[in-house]
Amino acid sequence: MSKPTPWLRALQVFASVAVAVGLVMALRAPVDAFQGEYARIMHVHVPTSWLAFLAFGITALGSLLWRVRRNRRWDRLAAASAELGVVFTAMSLITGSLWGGAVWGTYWDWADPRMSTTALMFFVYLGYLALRRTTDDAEAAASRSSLLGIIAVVQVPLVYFSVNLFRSLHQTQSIRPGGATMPTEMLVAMLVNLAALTVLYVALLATRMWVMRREEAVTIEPAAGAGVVPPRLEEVGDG
Amino acid sequence: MAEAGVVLAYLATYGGILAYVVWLEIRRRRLTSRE
Repeated sequence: MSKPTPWLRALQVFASVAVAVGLVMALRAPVDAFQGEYARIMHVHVPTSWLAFLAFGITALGSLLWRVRRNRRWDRLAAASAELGVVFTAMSLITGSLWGGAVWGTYWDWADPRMSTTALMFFVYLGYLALRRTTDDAEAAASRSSLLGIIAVVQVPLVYFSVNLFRSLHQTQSIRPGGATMPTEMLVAMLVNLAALTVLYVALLATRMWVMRREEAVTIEPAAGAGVVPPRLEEVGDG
Repeated sequence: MAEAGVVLAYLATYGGILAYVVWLEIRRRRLTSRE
């Protein structure tokens, strides 16, 4: 019976509670004088963008460890994290576009470096997931995708620093080492959502890896009764 | 009253998370039936 372990179940419950608390705080946080209600989008846009970066960083780490150790666990970590990274990047693109439509007056601009590099990163990691499906051989899939997982991570700093390196519609980082450019109440709500969605990422990553491991076991292990050689009639005898 | 864009952004985020959780649960149930 495929039931999650107690610690995984506890992590899932903790993540659900954390996300619910984050959602309530985001909806109760003060709004911006200029952006109005649209400032609330930042409470989901910033965390999903951060998680996209984190997920692809973990994919690179898992890929590197797989190449060094050749342990299936690291390949599962890389693949599960890439899948989540694609999901969070899609959310980041959608929420960012909705915010831009209201505040900048445009939902999309290919000339903007932050938008275009994020879109490129999304498609590259979609390619990573597609590459894993080009073969049924788990070792071959791990070998091919691990190279892409290591190389593609260069996009993460490119996307993050694109607003500093190029002229961009997108504002520079709101949270910097020297302090944040927003009121404390808004900052707290954003940080709580950042932490809550990071816990959710860890819970989803652990769950996806658990499902992957079980799927591999079911694929490799023969089904019940398979491989049992039926007795030949002459061995059974006529009693 | 929240703006439509804000509602859509929250729907995209939390709806996306819910969709992924449901998809994971479907895979887990398929495993149970195969074991």
